[in-house]
Amino acid sequence: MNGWIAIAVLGAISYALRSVVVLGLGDRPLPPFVVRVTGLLAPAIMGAMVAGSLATGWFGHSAGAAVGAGGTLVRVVAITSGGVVAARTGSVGRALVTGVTLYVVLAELGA
Amino acid sequence: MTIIAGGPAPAKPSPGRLRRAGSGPTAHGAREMIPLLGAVAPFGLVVGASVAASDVDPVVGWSTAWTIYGGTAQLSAITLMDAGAPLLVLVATILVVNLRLLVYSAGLAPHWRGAPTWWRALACYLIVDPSYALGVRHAATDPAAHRAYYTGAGLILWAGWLLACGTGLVLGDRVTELLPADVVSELMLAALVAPALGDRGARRAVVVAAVVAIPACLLPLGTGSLAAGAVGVVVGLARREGR
Repeated sequence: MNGWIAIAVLGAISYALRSVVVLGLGDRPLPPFVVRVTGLLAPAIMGAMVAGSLATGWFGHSAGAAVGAGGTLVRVVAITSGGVVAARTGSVGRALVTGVTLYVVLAELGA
Repeated sequence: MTIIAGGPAPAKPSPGRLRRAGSGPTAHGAREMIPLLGAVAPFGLVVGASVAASDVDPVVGWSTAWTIYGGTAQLSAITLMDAGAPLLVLVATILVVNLRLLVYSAGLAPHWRGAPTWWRALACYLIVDPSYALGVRHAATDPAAHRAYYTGAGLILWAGWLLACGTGLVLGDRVTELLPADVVSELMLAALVAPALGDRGARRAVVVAAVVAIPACLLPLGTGSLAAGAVGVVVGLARREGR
């Protein structure tokens, strides 16, 4: 598959999602069911992506080497801490700093 | 246009004053976006480094920054393209990952009522999590000032994002040496999900999706997250409706 065609299609889809309401529906609100589904879909997918990434890291199904149970536990602690900070402060920056710092410290301690 | 209190207003403000007055909210938006850009820039570096580490053409991979313009969607696209996934899987994944943009668009649309069509078309292109957050936060201001604010915030984020992805592409492996790349991308996702967990239905959807995602990671072509997310949504909807 041609890469340029792929990203052109994906780009068009991304723009369509951004613009359909503003340019297409105008002032009309989204149907309530659509709002409920979209409200759940993004968090669910993102939660699945995090868990899936941790699982592939543990089991080593990704291209990289398996990090094992210990390495996965360190990542879980770092990510959970970052998530708590994000939930409480609403700051992505603080969540990143907290999580990365914790990850580096725990990884060094465990090394 | 600034009106001087306590004295006669100038019949024709100087061009310099007009420029300062016009650029005020634009510059304000740009300044307020800078801290958020600092938070997402590491993610951009990771996206660029992912392109460098993949078999995807570097220019094509970097161009996801200005075509798709969304870190999670770009990472998903690059990963799937590298795995040779068919276009249909790419389309389905991007549709799902970027579906929240539809909600963002619906949230901003009422504040852009009456704006020129060309501006709304540009503003839509700049919708992403940080620009949405700032756009909604400053929605109560004067419509023209809001548009200028959003434009400044959106453009600085866009330019910074492209630069971050390009820098990550150039640095390649050195990004992963400087940053724990996997953890950074996972932290970004967790930080975006965490505020939604205050809602019981969303919390159940996320937990169920995460549990299902563990065995589902064995599914081919990165479809595990899609499948797990769908299961999470069904459970979350059922929970909200009390079934």
